[in-house]
Order: sequence, then C-alpha cells, then structure tokens
Amino acid sequence: MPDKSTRYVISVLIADRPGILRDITTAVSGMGANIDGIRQSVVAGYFTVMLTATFANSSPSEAIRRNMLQAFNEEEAQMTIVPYDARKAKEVLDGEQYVITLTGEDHTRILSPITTFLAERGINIEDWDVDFEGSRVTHVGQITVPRNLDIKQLQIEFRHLADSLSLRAGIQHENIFRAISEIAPIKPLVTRQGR
Amino acid sequence: MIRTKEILSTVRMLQEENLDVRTVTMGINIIDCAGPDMDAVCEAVYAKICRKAANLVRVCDEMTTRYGIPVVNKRLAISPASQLLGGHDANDALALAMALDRAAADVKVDLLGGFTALVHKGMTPAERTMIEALPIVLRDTKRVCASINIGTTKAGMNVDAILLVGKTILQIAHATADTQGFGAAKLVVFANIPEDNPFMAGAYLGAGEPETVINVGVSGPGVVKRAVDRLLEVNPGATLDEIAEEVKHTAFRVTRTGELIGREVAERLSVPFGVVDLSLAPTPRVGDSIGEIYQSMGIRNLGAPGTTAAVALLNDAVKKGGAFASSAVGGLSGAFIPVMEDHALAYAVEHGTLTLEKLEAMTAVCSVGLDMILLPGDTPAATICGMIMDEAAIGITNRKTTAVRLIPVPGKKLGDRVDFGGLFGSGTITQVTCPLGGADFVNRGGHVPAPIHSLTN
Repeated sequence: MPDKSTRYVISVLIADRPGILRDITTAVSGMGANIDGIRQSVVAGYFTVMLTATFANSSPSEAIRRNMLQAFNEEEAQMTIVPYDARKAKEVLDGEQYVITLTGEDHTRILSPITTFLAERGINIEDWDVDFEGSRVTHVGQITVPRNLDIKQLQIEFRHLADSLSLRAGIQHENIFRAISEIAPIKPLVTRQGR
Repeated sequence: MIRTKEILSTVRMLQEENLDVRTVTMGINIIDCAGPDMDAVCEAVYAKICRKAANLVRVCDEMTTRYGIPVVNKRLAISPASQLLGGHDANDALALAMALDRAAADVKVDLLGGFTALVHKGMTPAERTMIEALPIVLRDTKRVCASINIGTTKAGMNVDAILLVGKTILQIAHATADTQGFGAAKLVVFANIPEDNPFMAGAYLGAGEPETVINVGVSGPGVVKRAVDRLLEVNPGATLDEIAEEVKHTAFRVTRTGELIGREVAERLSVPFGVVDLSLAPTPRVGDSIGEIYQSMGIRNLGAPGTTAAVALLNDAVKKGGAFASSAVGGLSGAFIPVMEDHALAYAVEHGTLTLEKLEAMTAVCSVGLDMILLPGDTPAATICGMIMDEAAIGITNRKTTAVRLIPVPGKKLGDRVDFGGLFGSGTITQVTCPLGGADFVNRGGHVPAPIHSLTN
C-alpha cells in the first residue's frame, strides 16, 4: 500500500569516508525529493545523518530504501526510513534552553545517571556532545527545562549528582553563550520573546 | 545549536579565568528629596532608595543563578548629594550621609556612591559644606563613597577647590586613623568625571541621566591574561599587533556578558539600561591582575621602559573590542591601575621598579589615574594638591577622565606596609620625589584656564 505521506525521516549510519553525504543527497534528489532538514555528525569514525525529505511523488519507504542503498556497498550502511508525523513532531516541550556542562576524569556510568536525572524531571535533551582531552572528558548538553522547574534547586541537585560522579557541573541559560558567541544585538535576547 | 567549542570557551572564562560582573550599579536621582528640613530630606531619601532598589540584589542573584556568572557587587549611585545641602551645615551633611548609609545597608548593597561635589568651575556653599563634612562623613559611615570633580576640558581646573580638597584628604585620613586612613580610600578626585561610571568609589548619577538606571561594570583581567598566554603558547613570536587583536576579541566577549546581565536586570526591574563599562579592574587575587597581563606581554619588571606603551596597547584594544560589542559602552571602559588592589603592581611599587612618576605617565594612556596610592602620613597638603593638579592636567589636556585616590596613612613612613584587607588589598607606602618643590606654584590658587582645544563650538 503506498504511503499517504510524501515526507520521510531518514537516518543513515555508516563507517566514515569521504563522499557519504554526496552519495545520500544525490540518491535522494535523484528521486525528485527536496531535503528540508538535515543534521550530520561523526563520532569515533562513524558517520551518521538524519534528514527529512519531501518527495514530489508518493513513494513507498521500501522503494526509497532500495534506491538509496544502491549508492553503497553491500551491508555498508544501516538505514531507517519512517513517515514524517507532524502531530508527533509538534510535541515540543514548553521551556527554556539551558546548557549543561560536565567535566572531569572519564569513567563508566556517567551518562546513564545524568540522563536519568534529566528524564525524571521532564527535561528534554536537544543535543549532546562529548569532548576528550587525554583522560579528561567534557560533556556538553543542550536541554529544554520546563518553565515550572525551580532552576536554582535543579542546579543544586544536579551539582550534588555530579559531585557523586567526581565531575564538575554547570547549568547555565543558553543566552550567555549566545551573547558571547553571536554577532548580533543583545537586546532581543532579554525581551520576553527572547527568553 | 551553539557550537561545543564556543560553550567550552565560555565555561573556561567563568570557571578558570575569574570572569565576573564586577558590579551592577543602580543610579537613582534624589534631587526631588531636597528641602529646608534635613530630617524630612533624610526620610525622603531613605524611602526613595529603599523603594527603587528594593529588588536590586534579589534580581542580581537571579542572574547569577540563571547564567552561572557571579555578580560580585550590587551598588547604588545617586545624583550629587551636595545638591541637597543648600542652606544646610556639616551636621546636616552627616545626617544625610547616615540616611544614605542606612538605606544602602537595608537594601543590602555594599557601597553607595554619589556623595559628590562638582566644583570644576566654581564652588557653591552647599558643595563647600559637603567637602568640609567629608572627614566625619567618611569616618561615621560604612558604605558611602565620595567624589569631587575639580576640572574638565571645557572648564579648566579649579585650583582653589583643589587646595580645599588636599587639606580635606589629610583630615579624612586622620579622622580614620584607627583604620589606617581608610576613609581616604572612599574619596576619588576627578577631572572629567563620567556621569555613568558604575565603579566605586567614583560612581554617581549625572545630571543628564534618567530618573533610575542600571549601569554594569564588567572586569576580567584574568580572562585577558589567559587569552594572551594561549596566543603566546601557540605563537611564541606573536607581534604586538597580534596581541592587540587577541585582547580586542576577548574584550568583545567580556563586554557582551556585561550587556546581557545589565539589560536583563534592567528589564526585570522595569528601569532603563544605561551602559556597560568594561574596565579591567583587578583584585588582589593572583590570576586577577592587570600587572600580570603586561608581564605576559613581555614587561618582566613593571615600570621598565615599554610599560606605558603596554598600557596604551591594552587600553586601546579593550576599548575597540567593547565598542564593537555594544553600542551602550560608557563609564570608564579601559584598564585600571589601582596599585593596592593588584598584587603585581603592588609588588613592583614595593621593589622600586614602578615609581609614582611612572604610574603618572601610565595614567596618560589608561582609563583612570593614580588610584589607591599609599603616602606617608606626614605628606603635606601642597604635595597632595600638586599630585591632583598633575593628574587633572593629563585628563583635561587629553580630553579623558583622570582621577586620584590618595591615602596618606597616619603614622606610616616610606616603605611601611599597609593592609586594608579584602578587595582593597595591601601595599607599601611610597612618595613623590621632591614633595614640596612645587608648593609655591600650587598655593597660588585660582584657576587653570581650559586648554585651547576646548574651544570647539
């Protein structure tokens, strides 16, 4: 049965090499689709991309998968394709954007207790990155904190958790990073809309 | 999404390099509290300050929580207190100062500036009353800070006022002899006083300012030093223009921090935002020193030839970075060189590489002047007046702010150590060469006319 939606969410996982994104985007556009969202990263030599694409003609997801896999060697790529569901995608959290940082000596069982802590409080993780320097690790998370949470109490509890993991922690509103990094007026950041 | 590298760079500035918002200063105009009955004046001033600044500290603390950046000091700057002293005497001046001190304590700010007289062209009886009351005011209050403007580029220099001020500084020091003359550390004598300076002890609310306003002072000498150090680690042969460029970019980032905090505090308090003043203001802590920046740049011994050029380079780069960062840059915005508050400068003075005369040369190219200078307790008034005049001459001629904060320490002599503790730091008594050689000139009094380039209209 043909899919009703002509927009798909596509993710690809593959060992990194030059030309992967070219292969993917060529295959997608070759099917007459417009790529309208994309995020790509490389972690420890593995390439991953997530994109959304709108197809001019109604195409079944299996046909798209077959077509795209032709660009790769046999079993080179792992691929997931699901129809885009606007109702699910719109369930974004009403909150403010904060940045979490955790630094210290790397060890096992850091992410599990941290992400459990966040999930238990309804905090959504928008982005997470890890940086290594020798044996030291730095986690940087961009999160959405529900407006009803007391940020001071959250910081106290989070630092307590980080202490137990021998890590130094911070939770700071994203505007401090935007103010310092962006070449743009400050004023819009502090208006009610900017918050 | 914000890039991880940028996030980590900001976190490093906050956690490792002592970046902070040195002060959020609320300006409050109190001229509407004037009247013939000093009890009523004091009541009105107290009530107005408590009403306007009731939430200042709470909101600043919210900023510290929200952004993870310390707002170290919360302060007040009032319109000149001397304007409330017409028809009043020194006892009234003290009553007013006590009311201000009480209000500052009750709204939990650490300092209140604006016990100020603007006498650059002439002196009213009210201003004379205020100046003559300073010894008891600065003795009997804890939070009140005073300033006197004795010259401007437009008006020239009021030497008669300076003669009164020089004598008064000695009286203040002796009135506060039990704290090693600390009262004098709460008085700044300016030329071209800025109307929106948020830093103490010289903050006041100028005549052209709003009824209430938020001005912010950001610091961060540690951030600038580490930026220079990192540049030199990567590129040990970096040229001075490359160092200037690095300082400029760092100043941009620091200034943006200040504007963000200032604007949000102002918005939450529903008062206008005024200026962000990026002044590299040191504290006695290691890693929070202006002198260390010059050392990183290659001035091994502060005061050596090249030091004044290093100050000029730093001051200019800070201003350029700040100007690009914000259209609301004001106050002093540059590099401070308060000797006692900077361990590297204090060390250089103690070991004789940095003399008063060299410091004076440096003030021609930095943002303030001879700041926190310890003098022997028996320093003559004429010497103090001469030092004020020299600094004022630099400011007036160069169309910039200069100031002096001189502390003649009772009972102390050249080379003695003095420790005020906390942010005020410690230092060694120094003195000028030939202290009375200019006394005849100074004591002529009168007025030094405005320089020719003041005639711009």
